[in-house]
Parts: sequence; structure tokens; C-alpha cells
Amino acid sequence: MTNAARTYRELLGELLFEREAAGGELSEEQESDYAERLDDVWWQLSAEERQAIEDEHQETAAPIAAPGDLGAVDVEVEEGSHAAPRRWAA
Amino acid sequence: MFLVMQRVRSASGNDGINAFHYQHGPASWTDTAPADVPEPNRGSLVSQSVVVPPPGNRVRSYLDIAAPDDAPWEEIHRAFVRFLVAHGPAPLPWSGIQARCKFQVGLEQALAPRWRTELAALLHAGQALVLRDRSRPSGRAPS
Repeated sequence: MTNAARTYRELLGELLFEREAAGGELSEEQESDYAERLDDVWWQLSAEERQAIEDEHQETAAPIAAPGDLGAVDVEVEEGSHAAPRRWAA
Repeated sequence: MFLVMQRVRSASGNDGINAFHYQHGPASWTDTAPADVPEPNRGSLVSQSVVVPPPGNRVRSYLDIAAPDDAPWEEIHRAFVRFLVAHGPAPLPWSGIQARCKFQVGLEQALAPRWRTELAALLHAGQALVLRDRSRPSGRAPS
């Protein structure tokens, strides 16, 4: 993977999470800052890298694999305790 | 510092995020987290934010963060974003080290389609608890 492709993936991942952390929407200034940075890197990518990133982006829209049930329940803990607040099923 | 944020659901259907703040005190690290943090060395629980009272609730998602006691929240946030970028769409659960922080993430399948939203909610719950503790007059969580 080239540095440009790595940078693009990192920026895109950062943008998608920061949007969620901000409640679903970034300010216009933040959005345009990300857009500008993404655009700069986009033109450094090869055609194959662009296609790979577009394909990945489609994949990330799909659910990621996760267990149906984590198999854990919470536990009461008191201040001063070193105990964990959850335990796993045996 | 060890932060645990977990979404739980009670048998009666109450759903919410509980957060727990542990500190390591003078033994806190300044560089890479020691190998024994957070397991078995979680530190000492200094405060918690409980929406759905334990025990016995099903854990639906969790975000565990180990970081130096005095790590600025911005540092933790940045490290978490890097952690997410590195793990992206890989199958859950995820765990790893990013800069001075260690992260562990797990979600049940029902929450996976909106994983970014869920992790943002868990992160916010931890941020709110830590900033609340740091805003106390002593600058530290109550003991």
C-alpha cells in the first residue's frame, strides 16, 4: 500500500467517526477541511487504488461480523474496588 | 486510568450506558502502558455513572480504555480514532494499543450495523465521566 492510499484510508475513517462523535454532522468548516485534504490525496492515488478504496467503502456500509450475544453480564462494584464491572459466562 | 463503558439491557428491557472510572494513582505510567494494565491491574474504582443499575444486566457493547491518569481527553480521543481506523471493518471484538492507550471493543450483532454511532456514544459516556471527575474542586475523582 502506498503512503497516499494509507493516508486516504486514515482520513476517511477519521471523518466517518468524527461525524458520529459530533452527533452525525460536523461543522461546514470541518467538512470542507476534510474534503480538501481527501481531495488532495485522491489525486495522488492510482486508478487501481481509487477503485480499491471505493470497493472498501461499499463494504464498510455493510454490517461487520460480531457475535449475536457477547455472553457477559454486569456486576455491581463499589468505589475503591479493583473488581471489573462485568463478568463473562463460563 | 482504566475506563469501562458498557451498554446494558435489564431483564425488563431498560437499556443504557454505564461508565466506570478507575485510577492507578502514583503508579500511573507516563509512556507505554505496562503489560499488566488493565488485566489484572485495573486500578481502583473512583467513580461511576450508572443509568441501568447492576447486577445481572446483559452487556450489549463495551469500550475499555487504559490510559495514564492525567492523559488529556483530546489525546485519548485522537488515539481512539487511530485505533478505529486500524481495525475498521474487521470482525469484532477488537483490541490494541495506540500511543499511550490500550483499547478493547465489543458489540453484539444487533448493534454492529451502526458501530460508529455506538462507539461514539460509549466514548461520550467515558468523556462525560472523566471530565466530571476532573472538574471537581480537588481536580481528582472522589475517593
